[in-house]
Amino acid sequence: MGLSPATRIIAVLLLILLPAPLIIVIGASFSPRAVLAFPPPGFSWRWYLEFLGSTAWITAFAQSAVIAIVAAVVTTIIAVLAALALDRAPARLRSAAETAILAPLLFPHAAIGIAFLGWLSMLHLNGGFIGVLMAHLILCAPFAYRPIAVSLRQIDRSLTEAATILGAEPRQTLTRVVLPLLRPGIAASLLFSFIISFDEVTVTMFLTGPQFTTLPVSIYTHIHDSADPVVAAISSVLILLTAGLVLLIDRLVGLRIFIDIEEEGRHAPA
Amino acid sequence: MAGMPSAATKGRLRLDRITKTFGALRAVDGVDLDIEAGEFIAFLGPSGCGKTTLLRIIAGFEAADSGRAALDGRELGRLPPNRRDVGLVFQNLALFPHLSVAQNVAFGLELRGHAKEAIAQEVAQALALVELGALSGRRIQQLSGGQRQRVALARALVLEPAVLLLDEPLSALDLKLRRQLQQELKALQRRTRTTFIFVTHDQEEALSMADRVAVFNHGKLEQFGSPRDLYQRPASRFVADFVGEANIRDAAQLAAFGVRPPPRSLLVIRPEDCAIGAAATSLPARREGVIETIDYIGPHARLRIGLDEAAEPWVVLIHGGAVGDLAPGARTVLGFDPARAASVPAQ
Ligand SMILES: Nc1ncnc2c1ncn2[C@@H]1O[C@H](COP(=O)(O)OP(=O)(O)O)[C@@H](O)[C@H]1O
Ligand SMILES: [Mg+2]
Repeated sequence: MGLSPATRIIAVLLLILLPAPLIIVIGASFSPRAVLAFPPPGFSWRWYLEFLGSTAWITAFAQSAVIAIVAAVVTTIIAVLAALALDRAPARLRSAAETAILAPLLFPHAAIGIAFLGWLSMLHLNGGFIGVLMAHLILCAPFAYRPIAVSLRQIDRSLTEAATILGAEPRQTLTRVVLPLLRPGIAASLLFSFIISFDEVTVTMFLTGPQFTTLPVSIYTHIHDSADPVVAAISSVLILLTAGLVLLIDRLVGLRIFIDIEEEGRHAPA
Repeated sequence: MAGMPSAATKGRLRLDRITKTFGALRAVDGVDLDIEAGEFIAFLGPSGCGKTTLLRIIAGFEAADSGRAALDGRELGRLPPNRRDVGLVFQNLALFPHLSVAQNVAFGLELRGHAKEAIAQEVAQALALVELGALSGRRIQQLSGGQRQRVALARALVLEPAVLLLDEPLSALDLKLRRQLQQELKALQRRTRTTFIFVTHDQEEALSMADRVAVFNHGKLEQFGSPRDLYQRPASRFVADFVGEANIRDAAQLAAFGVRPPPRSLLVIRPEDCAIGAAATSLPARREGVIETIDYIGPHARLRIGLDEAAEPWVVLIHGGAVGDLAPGARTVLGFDPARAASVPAQ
């Protein structure tokens, strides 16, 4: 590729700087002593064992996993339905609705958190699973909708027409042609929604309570009281999990699917 | 599948004053057509003349603004595409990329609820018919253009539609493959006795394949007839010009030959009905001219003969062996027989 030397240097610096904090966290997690330090003064699995042996940590981990799975599945179902409906809607309605779906990307998360806090107290859903789930559905929506809408727009109209003329009713066209061709978008939506929900702190912090909390929020609260490397160990696990999922998305469908939404619409048959 | 040739029992299509407008544009303009069961019909016309639109009306993907269509006596009306007994091979083929060759062909059979074993057998027969039996497990992406073409045909024909519509199915292929598939398609139509409506903008393709050709221009049906009819008795100046090559001349241009066309008509003189030099002396209409260009093609040569600078040159086709030492710039005599010329209405 024809990159100038200056561009190359900047690129290399970025590639070093971006993962640097992650490397420090992972390094610190192996410390044998009860202080966060980098480089670690030795090597031990002590803090990983502490994490695995603690009921509180494991409960938080399990609750995070459950909420992330439920959020991913529900958001993806809603996103598929929304994309199918908006695909046939008039252009102005569609672009208005898409702006609304993508809005959580633009609003400050603290504001969203406070808004949810007020709203959920009105509904008496504070501090519980349902409240956090509702917030996560909203936060995942942009990441679920985009890849599905992109996949849908890439389905040539002649494919659904071919199904029709071969005898398919609209519902059969949906299940036999459209949904199978949406698979890459659906996979990306599930994985990305899972990651967003699993890693979410800012909004979730406003909404958790004594009965229900998530792993990232527990890490944040724990750090207030003590600076022992157990949080580094847990963070390392989270980093590994997230990286694995992103890699999986890239392998399955490619990360481009998040960029392409504005690209050319569907082709009309010539 | 109808494996053996037999009289076609279904596939009679009647179109009655079909019209479709897009805004101010009349894409299809009052088209009447009566197509017999088992005919191979070509829709011929330049790009944008409404061929695809008419096909989509027959298929049920577009609703005509007015007019009626009936298939085997059954009004098509607002019947949805999946209830019409019509097959369609799309211009881009529209094969399902997530299914194998066999699964593509089985698609319509499964929707009809056929038994698994019956489907397997029908799919195998259909693939054998298009000589793709060995590739049934392949993915669509692993096929060549010609193979995809055949899958699309098998997928449509396996349902034994009354009418099969084909929208420029060969236009994306290279010339050699195209010629081969033209032959195969024609043989396939004869064997299955299905009514084929084949859209093309290539007049040679239309003439060589179809029993009858419908020529369209600006949404209007210009002429519907056998290839010979179109060539020897064109109904309009457009048809005379679009189908084959022609010298189309009005009364003023013909006066110097001592020829008078019928009133308000033009004469259509085919290049191969003209002669030059000694061969022209026996012909009733003659004039002297200058050879402007000679395109030697082998079996024949195409000459342009100028009668005077202002007028459009005449195109003449002569036997390749008759070129001899003719050269551009030479004077010669151009002759033709008005009795062999067709006439078309002047606009
Ligand atoms: N959906 C549509 N909306 C507006 N104009 C259309 C539409 N479909 C076709 N047309 C116009 O109608 C005319 C006929 O198109 P078409 O039937 O595709 O021609 P052909 O297949 O003979 O090339 C063209 O001028 C085309 O631009
Ligand atoms: Mg067309």
